[in-house]
Amino acid sequence: MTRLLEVQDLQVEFDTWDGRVRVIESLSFALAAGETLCIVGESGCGKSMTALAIMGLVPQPTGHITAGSVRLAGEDLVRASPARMQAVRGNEISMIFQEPMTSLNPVYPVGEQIAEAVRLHKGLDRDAARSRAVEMLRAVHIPEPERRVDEYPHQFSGGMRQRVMIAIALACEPKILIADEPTTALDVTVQAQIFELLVELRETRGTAIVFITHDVGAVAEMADRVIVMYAGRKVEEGGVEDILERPAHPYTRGLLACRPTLVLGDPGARSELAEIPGVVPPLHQLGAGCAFAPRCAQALQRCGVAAPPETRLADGHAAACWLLAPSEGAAA
Amino acid sequence: MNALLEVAGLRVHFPLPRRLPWQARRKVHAVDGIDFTLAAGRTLGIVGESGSGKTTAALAVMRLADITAGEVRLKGTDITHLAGEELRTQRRYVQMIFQDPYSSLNPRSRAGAIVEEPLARMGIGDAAERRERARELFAQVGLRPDQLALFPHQFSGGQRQRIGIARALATRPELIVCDEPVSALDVAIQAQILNLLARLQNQHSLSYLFISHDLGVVQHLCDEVAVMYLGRIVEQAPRARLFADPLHPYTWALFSAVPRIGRRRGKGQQRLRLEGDPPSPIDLPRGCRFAGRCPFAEERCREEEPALRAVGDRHRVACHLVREDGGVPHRPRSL
Repeated sequence: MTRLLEVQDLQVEFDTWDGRVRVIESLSFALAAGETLCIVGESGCGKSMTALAIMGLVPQPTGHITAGSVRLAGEDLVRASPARMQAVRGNEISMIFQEPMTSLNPVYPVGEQIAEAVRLHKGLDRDAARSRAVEMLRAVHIPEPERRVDEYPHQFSGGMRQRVMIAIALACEPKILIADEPTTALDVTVQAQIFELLVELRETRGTAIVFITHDVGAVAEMADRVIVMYAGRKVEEGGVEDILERPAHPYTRGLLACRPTLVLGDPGARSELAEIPGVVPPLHQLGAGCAFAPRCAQALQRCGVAAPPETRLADGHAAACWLLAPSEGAAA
Repeated sequence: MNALLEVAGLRVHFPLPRRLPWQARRKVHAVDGIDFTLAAGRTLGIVGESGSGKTTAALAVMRLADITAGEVRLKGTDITHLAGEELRTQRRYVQMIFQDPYSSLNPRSRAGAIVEEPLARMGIGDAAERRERARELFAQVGLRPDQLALFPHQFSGGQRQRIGIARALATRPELIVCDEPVSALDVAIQAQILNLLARLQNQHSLSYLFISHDLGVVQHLCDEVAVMYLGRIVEQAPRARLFADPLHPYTWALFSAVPRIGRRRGKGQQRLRLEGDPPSPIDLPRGCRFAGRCPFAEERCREEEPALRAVGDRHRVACHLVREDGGVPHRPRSL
């Protein structure tokens, strides 16, 4: 498989009142063409910031990419000029956001907003851009696209607006679509429709998807491969089956166990949910050890002292935990 | 069965402003005729999507939304039309936990004062007793006594929800209405709060009216579940029954839409797909409200509104297609 996007040792820091805080710590991963990679974690784990760093949208002037590279087909985007990034965004890499209500401009018709992207990036004239907009609305299954192309965002429901966002994002046929919690604001039946649409578009257009979510159910639904993040670090990476069926890191296991999942059939007696005690620590208070150690039931003395290295468990499955490190494995 | 809460024929309609002075006033049929009872010490879950009326139903039970018709009985007392001091007395027995732990706490009050406030409002105990009660409640919900003097912004989301729970428990209520109490929290924190709610229920034999859109959470916590669609209950059954043998096509669609770890895509599973969005609660369609999106709808469904009827032991469903014995002509192969 060809590596479309390669993130290497990415490090993002922010200036805050408490000093400089590292929100992403030496993050590396690769995305193959046509693949869906899910990034999972709780709020503040750095999953959205990873997306912004790829897009060159780390908030200025407080945020900085202090190390690492983001390579799109060999080209390092971290070092690319602002003009070059503008040509990349929306054209080669597109992004859809959580809030379809606030991501659309309320004073322009939706067709205009789709056409804008293709006019800018592909240099199409007005008529061609408009027919491209109609075509895209049809591709995302909006009924009567010829009529609705001239309607405004407020005339669309939440699910429809997210479809419009997807149409804008895919209008220039990008190689990569980054979807940052695209269904969190939507109802579950509408969410199911959006998932289906994303899978369909991926299959017909070959777009690779980086899917950011906090919901392990959504991971099961969408992912080929999964990255689990905690406090700005990647704690586990693997194929979707590895992560869901053979989770290795205590945090991944906790994340899977603490969520009450729907069971069809007799759910049995009510039992206590597994808890991950405590909360994610403030990032400026992280020590030298494993970030998860204070909440980990299996933490060893060594976990508080040094950050665990990434241990390879199987082909494409790796986790950063001292319990899995070769010398400690037997003790655990 | 000892019914703590009885709701009969409840309707809550919100009038809309007239577009033109001579036009008839239109209204939103937020809750449009629902009945249910909740026994002491039990949990009734109400699930539905946005606009189904589940939150409005909760607010009506709390007497925080104006009731258009029907009645709400708490421990046998009709509270539908109570006002003033009489209503305040009843409010001791029913309290609420809100969805948003950020906006539901006064940012200028200290946590201790927030928990004491309901006691002060209802004139329960003197200042020293109230302070002692707040301290006791803090311990029950897993907060430290030294945190009583902090302000809400000094707490995390999960801790704020704990303050909200302590406040709801202050007057020793028997019924707590929980409106999406965990949906604003991170997954790991949700488990902590759900376990806390279950533990408190056992300790104080509380009853919960639990409003949620999250079927996993509802299945975990509730003894009985009602599914709402556009202001009506379409199906209601005990937990084991509803999840093992759902009968209404909307319930199927809802279950089918939930992403589940056990079900991976592309493994021959057929999803029961719903097209489009629910119709407007202002101009309701004739017949069954779900007919427009129901893949099995027949002529009759578009003409005549189905009543909620019993089809088995405490199992009620509002669908023309379900037979008297609870059999259904169509059944998805798998959900």
